[in-house]
Amino acid sequence: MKSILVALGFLACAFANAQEIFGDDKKAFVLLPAEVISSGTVDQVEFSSSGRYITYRRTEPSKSILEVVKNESSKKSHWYRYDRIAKASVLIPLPETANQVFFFGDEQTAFYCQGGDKEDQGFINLLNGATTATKLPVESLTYFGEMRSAAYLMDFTGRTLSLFSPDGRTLTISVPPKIHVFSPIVSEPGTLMFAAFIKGTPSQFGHIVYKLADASVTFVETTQKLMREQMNVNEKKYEFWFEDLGPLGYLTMQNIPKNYVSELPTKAKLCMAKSFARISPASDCVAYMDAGALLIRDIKPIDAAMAKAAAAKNAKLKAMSDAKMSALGLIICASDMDGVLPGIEGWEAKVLPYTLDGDMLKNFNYTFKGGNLSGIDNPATTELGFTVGPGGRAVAYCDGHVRWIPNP
Amino acid sequence: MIIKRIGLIVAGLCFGAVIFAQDKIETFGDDKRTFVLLPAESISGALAFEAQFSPTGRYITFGKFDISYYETAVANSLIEPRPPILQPKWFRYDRINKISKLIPLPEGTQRTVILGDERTVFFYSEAKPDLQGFIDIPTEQVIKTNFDLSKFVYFGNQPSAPYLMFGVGDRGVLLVKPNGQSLTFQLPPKVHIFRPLRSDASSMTFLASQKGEPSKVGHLIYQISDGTVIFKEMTQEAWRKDVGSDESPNLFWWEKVGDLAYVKLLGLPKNLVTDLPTKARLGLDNCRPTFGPKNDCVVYEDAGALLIREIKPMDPNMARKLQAMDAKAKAMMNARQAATGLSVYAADNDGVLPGAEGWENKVSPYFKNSDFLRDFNYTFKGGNMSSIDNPASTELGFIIGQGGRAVAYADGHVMWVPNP
Repeated sequence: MKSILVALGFLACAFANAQEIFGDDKKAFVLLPAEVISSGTVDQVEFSSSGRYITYRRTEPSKSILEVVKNESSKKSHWYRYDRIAKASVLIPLPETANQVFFFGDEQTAFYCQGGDKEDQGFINLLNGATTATKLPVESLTYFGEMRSAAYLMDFTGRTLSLFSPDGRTLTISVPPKIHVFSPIVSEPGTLMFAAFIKGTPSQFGHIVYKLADASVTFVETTQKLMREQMNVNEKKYEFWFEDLGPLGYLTMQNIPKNYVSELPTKAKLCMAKSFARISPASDCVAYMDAGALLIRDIKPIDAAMAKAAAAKNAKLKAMSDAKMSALGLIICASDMDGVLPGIEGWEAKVLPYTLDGDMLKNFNYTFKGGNLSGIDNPATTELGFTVGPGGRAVAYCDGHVRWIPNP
Repeated sequence: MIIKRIGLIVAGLCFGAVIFAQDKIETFGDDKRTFVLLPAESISGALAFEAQFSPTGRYITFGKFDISYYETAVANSLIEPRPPILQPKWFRYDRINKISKLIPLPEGTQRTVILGDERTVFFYSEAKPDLQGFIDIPTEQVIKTNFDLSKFVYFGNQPSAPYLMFGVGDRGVLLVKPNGQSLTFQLPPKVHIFRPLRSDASSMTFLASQKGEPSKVGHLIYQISDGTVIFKEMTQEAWRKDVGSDESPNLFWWEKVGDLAYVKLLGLPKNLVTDLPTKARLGLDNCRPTFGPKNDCVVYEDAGALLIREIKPMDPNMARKLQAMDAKAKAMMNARQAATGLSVYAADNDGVLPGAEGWENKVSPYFKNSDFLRDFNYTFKGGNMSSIDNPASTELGFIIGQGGRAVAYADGHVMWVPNP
């Protein structure tokens, strides 16, 4: 009997289950149902600079418990790249020794290494899988190509700034004395720019400009604040962040003032706590883990007024569904007890095995006084109980149907 | 920026090992029976619904709405007071080959039942009574039927009885096999059928009762060759044994605690005291789990996606070992994170590590969740990092774990030091 009850679950409930609406008074979003990217076990996930691709590392599932208990390093893992447009993952054919991979901002290249200055390192073209072995000083590299306009590795040793491009070319720039170079910043055509500072009292902050035409290097002083901003220009301004709160991980709106009160929730339930999630650069989707599997959910902006209406509708649907499930639980319980509905006293405990949802039953106001179902003259008009929703009640009747009765 | 980058790298390096131990494997049980909930395999993306196991548990059928349709319909569905009317597709997932096969059911199908033969599905619609029939999944052959659905008695989900059963008239019984072949017989007076028990080529046996003073229970045996129907009385005890015979006893159940759903052993005594966790985190509270008939897996939903996790029995001692490993890995990770936070703080403050006083408040801004810092015993007295002669052997602090301490050193490495 129990399985029938599960099968009777509302279609509407499936929809309500799979979407979350959240926002503040001005902006609202809907978190759409999940698509699957990969089965378990995935442990590293990264969006590409435009957000089109998601690269992830996956360890093949274990066959036996013994393997599970063994050290993970003995197991094989592979990197994949998921294309959000094609909705498919492609294996990245990295050498087996590669245990660190840096994906470049051009979305075409990655640099892999074994960790440290060991032999196995090189560039890989993600489009055709071609690899180019390199012998670079990995330990001293200070920049790993994540900027879209600066797809190269960078090393700053002594007074020499070396840029290693995926095509095998190396550009060396002599940096004038006392100048320390941080990392690339957005450049103009024909010039390369790097955040830099000159140590002193006080220190000078700014950037250096390298002209490709005449190989000249000039230091331009700005402020420390501006320098940091330029360095972080690649840092995305996310609309949301992933918040680990109690038993759950949430997708939470950024910059919500404390004690903020709104009709909409400012966060959406995403996954179990201690998982992790990555938000796309355009804040239009979130990739997250569930028990080792990797899933993705799109986030779409919607009109705030519409979102409020939808939230109310969802609450109403939930009340209707809860009332129906509670009523069915009661009716099935009765059919197992020779047709006799339980009395008010302890009814929840009796029905719980049929619905498995204590919270739902707690919200159901069981108004029927108990007794034999067959003794009810008109089951379709005899009230069994109700669940309170926004602006009304979802009333369940003895024949199992549910009606929404707005508050007077 | 550079420092941040290094911080990220360090975090990335230790992440793999740790998340494995912490998050993907959950053990649960009691002192005698322990199980492990393995990492999730994905069966389908959204929007999947009504996952149903075949009787042996090898196949899972489910319906699925096209998510792209859903995306375009989402705005409408928000305004409309009813859910959008969509046509689902139906699939059968094979747990051995790990692939889903489309079941080409007619448009409008609302419900499906897998028959006990593991290859036939009966489909029907509550809205359109004439939309019903059998489909043979391997050959995709459809046999349309036209039954009065309100007279259904049994849906054919037992392996030994893969046929549908209807009531006909006052005392008639109609059995329909997936190939369309049907059999009818009349019930003897006062006899009622509960459900089929078993069948072979020559006869069919049902669990039945006979009204009277007192009522009798027993088997109803139908001989196919000559059409005879006999009621055979049994003792209550033997009959009850038969009633429970088709269901392999459920080993697991799930419960909702707060916002999460947990898997646990069925029938655990309340107040059970054990050193192992009695339940395992499965998913969010609305994940609607269904357990495999062989008690070897659980299927559940995650935001409309359908996932499956294997459940395997495990030696309780092994579970204890795993638990200890988990605790150790957690202590190691937190110690490393704390050390990283301290060195990032130092890098931002001209290389000076904080003193013992208020160090937590100084380091916590580097973490979104800094609760773990409370467990870190910061033993370094503070001062400039560059003045440390031997960072690899200078202790920054430690976290106490099960049977030892995870000690973090000034160069950022962490070592497990067992208790003497």
